[in-house]
Amino acid sequence: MAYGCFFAAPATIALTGAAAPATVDGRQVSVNSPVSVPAGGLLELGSPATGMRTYVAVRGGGIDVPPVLGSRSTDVLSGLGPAPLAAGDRLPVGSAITGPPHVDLAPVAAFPAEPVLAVMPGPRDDWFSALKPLFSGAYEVTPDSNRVGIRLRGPKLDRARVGELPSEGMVTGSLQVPPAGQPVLFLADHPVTGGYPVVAVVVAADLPMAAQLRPGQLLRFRPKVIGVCEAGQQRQRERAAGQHGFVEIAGIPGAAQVGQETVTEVIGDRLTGIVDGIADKLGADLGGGQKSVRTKEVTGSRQGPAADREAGVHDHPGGVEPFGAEPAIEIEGVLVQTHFHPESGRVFRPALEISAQREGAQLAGLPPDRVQRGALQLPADL
Amino acid sequence: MWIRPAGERAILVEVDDLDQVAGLRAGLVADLPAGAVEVVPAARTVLVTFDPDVTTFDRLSAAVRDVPLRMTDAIAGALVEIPVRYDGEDLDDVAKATGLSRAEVIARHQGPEYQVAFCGFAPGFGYLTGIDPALRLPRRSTPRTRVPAGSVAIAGEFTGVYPTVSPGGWHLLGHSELAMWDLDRDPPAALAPGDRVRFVSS
Repeated sequence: MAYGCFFAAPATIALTGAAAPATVDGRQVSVNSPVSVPAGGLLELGSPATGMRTYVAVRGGGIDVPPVLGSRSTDVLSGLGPAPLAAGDRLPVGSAITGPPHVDLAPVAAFPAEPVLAVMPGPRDDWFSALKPLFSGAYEVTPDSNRVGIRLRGPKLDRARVGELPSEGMVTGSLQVPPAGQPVLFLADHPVTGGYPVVAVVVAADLPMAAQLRPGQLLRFRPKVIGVCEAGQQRQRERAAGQHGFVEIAGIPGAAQVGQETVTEVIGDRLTGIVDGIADKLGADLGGGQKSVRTKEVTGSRQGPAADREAGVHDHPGGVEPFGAEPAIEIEGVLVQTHFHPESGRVFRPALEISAQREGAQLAGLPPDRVQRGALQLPADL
Repeated sequence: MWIRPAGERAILVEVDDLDQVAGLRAGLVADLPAGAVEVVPAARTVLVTFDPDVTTFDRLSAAVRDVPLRMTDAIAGALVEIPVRYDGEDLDDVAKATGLSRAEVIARHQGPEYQVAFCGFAPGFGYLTGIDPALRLPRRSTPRTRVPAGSVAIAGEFTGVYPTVSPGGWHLLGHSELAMWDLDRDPPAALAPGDRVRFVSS
């Protein structure tokens, strides 16, 4: 066994995280389940077959070391918090037991051998010539990894611009890309600020999986996408609530960021190329053949989903579905629209920079003052 | 102002310069928008994390856009006096590089009232702006591997005090006995963003 500890007093504990083989006084015990340890009992943990970190939770107050700035864990970057554990340490544990545990076994999914982590592109995806490499192949976790971050080795991300980024705040899950083009995935002890551009951020739901990655393991990234079904339901809810809703898209590089509904207008024959470019940039298999990038010509009147189908909405397998079957803004010529959903609490990115509202355009279904005006800007490589 | 998502729970607000960062940060802290959790100022940006159960990207962005970017007396921070003994290893080099005498370097460093633009690098380290333009120098070409704790230093548009022993490439003008970081103090950091700072001879 790799680690062990004696309990001075009886305790109820639970092991979570990586499923390490565990025994109490030599008898095997389960993870994700309450375990009774008698006074003087010895808990021993072996190496887990998958995963990186096993957590020992003690019922009734946990590990009761003095908190530093509200935390009882060691911050390996700043050196704050208690010293890392060493053989012979004694740890106070809480004793506020209140009745029997309510759970016999917490159902926890096994770690996938090759996890796929969802990311939201940005804030600095525009510093890279394309996001496609991020989604195109597997990255390997290198040994140069700890609680600060995981250094990855895999498809290289090329800069679209030179120069230095002034340091800026970073969140946990940030994929920061130094000049060599190999991303670093920042974990719990990440620095508050960083000076290399962050190309994307792993979504909160996938962070626990990121923390269990081991050196040598492979992982993949995929853009966070709101699926067709969810988006459709969302639209229905919004219609019911009297709001206008469209389909959301995450993961379009080269996009502008605004806080309200956005419209990207594309003129004539550039449309097909741009949509192809979007699909190409997303690149990865977005999971499920029903997702598609749709474009649609809007010629005048408001149309419904049935009319959309008849009008020959063309699908791009492998892309996402940014455009609702029901256009809410009608502008003469060809229209591409994407949307920030105002209430869902999620961040969605428009496909391209907000376009100018064309002169003579007819707006319908959306208050004109919610359409942002600006110059039409297309990503350089489209 | 340019607002970008930084994952699902944060926005990164980019502004034009440090003054706007200071004004935006102070304005946000003085009247924190609903659901905003943490405000992290940096050189050109302010990161605002949020609770997705309380607010959304859209609502928070709209609230941030309403914050005036000007620092006013009403939202400026406390005045902190930092006692300095000007005995730094680089004092002569700085005098030579700037064409000033040692005494002039010291006088010009003590002259302005600085402001903590943002914190970072190490717990307790504040980046102070407001430096006399005559003292603006690029970082040392070779950083030191060990800068003593309490070192008062300058580089570029900043001055600051190293809270702990660390590597560093700034020019050392002197040292201070004031603990920049003390876990037994609440708050542990002597400087917070927005604070005003004066250096006084000790």
